[in-house]
Amino acid sequence: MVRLTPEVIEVAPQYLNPVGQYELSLRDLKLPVIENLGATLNQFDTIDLTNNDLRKLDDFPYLPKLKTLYLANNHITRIAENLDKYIPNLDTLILNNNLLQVLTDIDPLATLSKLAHISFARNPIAMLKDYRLYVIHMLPNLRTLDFNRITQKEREAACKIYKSKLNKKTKQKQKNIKTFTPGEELVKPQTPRMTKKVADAIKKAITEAKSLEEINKLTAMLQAGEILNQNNSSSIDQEEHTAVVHIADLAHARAQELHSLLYELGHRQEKHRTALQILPRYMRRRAASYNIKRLPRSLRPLADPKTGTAKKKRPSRRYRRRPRDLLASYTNRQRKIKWLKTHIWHAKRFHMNTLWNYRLAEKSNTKCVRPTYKSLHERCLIHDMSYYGCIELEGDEEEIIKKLTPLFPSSNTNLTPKAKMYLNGQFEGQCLVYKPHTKECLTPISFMWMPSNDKQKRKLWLWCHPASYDTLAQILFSLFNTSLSTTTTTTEEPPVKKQRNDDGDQESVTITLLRDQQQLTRFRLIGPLSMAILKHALHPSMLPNDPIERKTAPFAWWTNEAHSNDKHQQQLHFWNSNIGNTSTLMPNRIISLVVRDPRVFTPIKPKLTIHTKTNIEKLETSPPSSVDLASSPLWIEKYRTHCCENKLATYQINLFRSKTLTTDSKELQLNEEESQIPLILIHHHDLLSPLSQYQQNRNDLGSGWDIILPNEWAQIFWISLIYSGARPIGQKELSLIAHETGEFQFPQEYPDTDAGIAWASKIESEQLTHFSKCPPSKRPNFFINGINSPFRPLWINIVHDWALEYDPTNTMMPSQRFYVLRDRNRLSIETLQQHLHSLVPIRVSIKDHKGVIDNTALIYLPTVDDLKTNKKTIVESRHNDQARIEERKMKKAKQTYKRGQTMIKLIEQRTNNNEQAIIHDCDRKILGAMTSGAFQFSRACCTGKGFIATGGLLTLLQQQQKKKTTKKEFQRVLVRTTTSQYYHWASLEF
Amino acid sequence: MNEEKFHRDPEEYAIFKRLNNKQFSKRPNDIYVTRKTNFKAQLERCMKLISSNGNYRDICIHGMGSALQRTINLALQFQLKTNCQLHTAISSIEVTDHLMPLLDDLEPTSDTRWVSTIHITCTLPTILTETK
Repeated sequence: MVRLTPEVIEVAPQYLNPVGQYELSLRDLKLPVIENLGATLNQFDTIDLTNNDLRKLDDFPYLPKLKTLYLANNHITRIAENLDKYIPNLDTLILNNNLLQVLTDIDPLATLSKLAHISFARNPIAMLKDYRLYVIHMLPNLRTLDFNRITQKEREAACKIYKSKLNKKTKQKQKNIKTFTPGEELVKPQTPRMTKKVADAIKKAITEAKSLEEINKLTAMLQAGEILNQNNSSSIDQEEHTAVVHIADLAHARAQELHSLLYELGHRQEKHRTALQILPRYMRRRAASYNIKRLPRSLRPLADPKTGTAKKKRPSRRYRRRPRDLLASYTNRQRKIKWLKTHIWHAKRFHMNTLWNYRLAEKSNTKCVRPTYKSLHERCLIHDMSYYGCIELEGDEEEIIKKLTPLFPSSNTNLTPKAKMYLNGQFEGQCLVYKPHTKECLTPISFMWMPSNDKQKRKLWLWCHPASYDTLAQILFSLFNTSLSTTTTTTEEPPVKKQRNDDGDQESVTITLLRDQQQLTRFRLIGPLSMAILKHALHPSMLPNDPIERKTAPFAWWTNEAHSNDKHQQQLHFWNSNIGNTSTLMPNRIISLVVRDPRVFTPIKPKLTIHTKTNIEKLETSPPSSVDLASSPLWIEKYRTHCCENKLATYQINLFRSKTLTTDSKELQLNEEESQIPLILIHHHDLLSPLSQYQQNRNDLGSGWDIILPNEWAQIFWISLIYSGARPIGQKELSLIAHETGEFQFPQEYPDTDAGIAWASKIESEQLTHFSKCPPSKRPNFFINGINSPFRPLWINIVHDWALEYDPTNTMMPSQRFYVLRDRNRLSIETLQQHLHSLVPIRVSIKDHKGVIDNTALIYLPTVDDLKTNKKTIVESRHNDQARIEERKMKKAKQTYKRGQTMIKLIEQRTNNNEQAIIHDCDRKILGAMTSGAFQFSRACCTGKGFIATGGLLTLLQQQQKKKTTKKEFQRVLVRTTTSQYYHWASLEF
Repeated sequence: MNEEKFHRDPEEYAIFKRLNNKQFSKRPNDIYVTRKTNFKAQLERCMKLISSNGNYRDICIHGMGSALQRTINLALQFQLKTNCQLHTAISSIEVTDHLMPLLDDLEPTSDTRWVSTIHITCTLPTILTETK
């Protein structure tokens, strides 16, 4: 039951029909009553009301344009009088399949003088005797009836039959006319009498009518009045009678109509967002959306943004990005996901991605795989690694060392902060942190002590990857008994200075999360030219020679007792002497420096390449570790904030530059206002990293310099370094470099850490969603190759299966968690046998062999036959497609399933199933998997890094020792990618 | 020398041998011989340099340390093939060993050693150039 509201009319289809008339289609709407047709605004020639529930043909407004009405398939029983007043030009009327019962029902149509075509087919009257003749008789202007032409014969027949009646009728009519013309006037006083009585009631009903019952009552009353009326006016004939009855219905319908109108008035505002939407669709013009003069005058005030509700135009991008607003929006946007200080620079040149709650540069917009390798090999790359967080521990040296001990179990070969080498602060150390009292690895960290002689007040900086920063901070808080309640607020409140001193004035350790204060920035320069670039970009500040002048010099604020002038002179001397030759410098040596504002020197044009043409006359040996090069004002917060606060803004520098007369002068004379920035430089070298390569493969590839500087200066130094010719890289290029140098990257290639597990599941879900979006025919079928978990290696299953396989008597399951044996120097068969539930990191290369390695490749154990017959290609036999089998089963059981989703379901199930054995899934036993694999430029072959289970490694060693090929020092394994059925030979390296 | 080797206990120190990256000449006709590179490939490289696409009249073969033997061998093989004249110079070069401690109570140190090097210049006979 739908009411014919203006909305309905508005949304109804309207079109130019084949006859060339504008048609409004109101088909199939179950309309009970015709109403509100005024909303059509007399625009249509044709109204199609087919297939509705109309009972009565009435209630038309004045529609002079209307020519055709389609009313087929309704329940019309009655036709209203006086239709000629409202639709005088009606030409065609289709009333097929309605319920007109009596021939006299159609009498009211006689007034429509222009009616030429009519159809009553499938009405009860169509079955009656003489129906056709009667209609012809009643409607003399008719040309077709029921789609048949009316012939002259029929007209004559009709004339014949109804002649007498006609005569009577005409007489009656004449009588009627005679009596009626005054009769109308006679009736009129009657009706006002009645309406006067009822008028108030009707008005009341209209105003008060809230339910249908009331209206019904009203109708009943009216009808009662009518009957009385009828009795009074017995002279009125049938036609007159029906007219009276209709008034009641009319009142009823009007009440409803008004009701709906009132309703509409109340809700109009909400339904239409703009003034233009108030107009019916056909009156809308696109231009009216911005030019209000194209709207009807009545709607203009509504459409005017000043007076009406219309929305104002969105301000231009330039206006929205006014400096003030831009800054506000930047701060707003970095509330949840942090930005580095060089974010804006990167966002213009890199694809950004959200990783570890930071917005980081993912990959460069330019094509740069080979250029990156070339720069790594011959020039210099730069990476902003400020997302590495720093934790500062301050306090008594012994206590710090004592409390930190549980983080470093003794099995680790790397030296820990307590080593004498690092204690005086001249070297940066790298080591792995384990969760206290467990074998679970947490994260690799790098650390440095502040050089100081005062044992009571030492500072230790721990640099940690953001993936494990929070965990490490919490562990440290618990180790040093600092209240944990403050750690929860760290994410919200930037100033974090957690100081705890419960036991009075005893020696205590302060932990400061420098990351949350955003105080330090760290850049990494990689490549042989990094020192040359540093020398080009940095200019150490010169102190006056005279000691009195030196004290008063305003830019010598950083000289103090801790960082005296002598040390500065030492550092300066070192910097100026032989630092261009980095090879003589000890790896991980720390050098600090106070430099001048780089903007003073930054050239206008960036320099693309720098060549070290400076000949080194005499090779100076690098100073021994006893020489203090590392002490820096950067360690002290006072100086850090000082140099950040006294920074000259770039526009001020530019003002100075514009005022200088000569443009070619190399440096800007800022004199006393020039800032001095303390830096710490670290000669980073992967020689000491926890998972460095085997000794004979080591070289300088991937070494370079790290710079630590106060964060406010990050952008300035970054640009200066870029202008000096360093090539910026993002995360993707960083992993490419890690692949070239053979380093294991945290968290991607640390599968035993929490961060590594989180990373693996993130990658898996990403790939699985991508996989599920592909149509089944456009994606690889891993099941056919016998691979059940293609997106994530099931380390736990592999480790436990091999532990059982190697030593079936050993049934104990120590823990669900496996661990990685990173203790490379002590790898021997005996130690391996003690650590059956572990993984061993390995490197694999397929030099002189066919095949490729990618990130998902799996490592398999060759059989003895494989080792004998070298040349034969080894192919995995075709497996059953489990997904297809499953789908067939479901089809048989008549269950509903989505094609292609079964595979994803099975993969997910397999990934979560820790119990099921995996190593016997394929023809060859699976040893382990790759974490990264690609073509390595420096070795000109495909290589990969990965892990294999210790049990598998032992089996492999036993098997190949028996063979004793002697000539080859490498163990051989089989490698297969997830999408392939071919195994390829590869050699195993450690 | 013996004393130095004595205190380089592999349990105590890890040795990182590093070449002083003094400016070596990097002309296209310089060949540095290593022990790892395939001998045949090195010879091939020499031949390529004097052939039409390199067209050098003389090439320099450098070697150092344990690769001396290979260097001489390469030069002689090259002479056999092209009948060139050899001019040999020997010198020595300073290299650095970094000793990184493996135990907590040791300081890192660095050593310098002198390694002998050989530079062989192979000059093609003038008659050959004229015939070519």
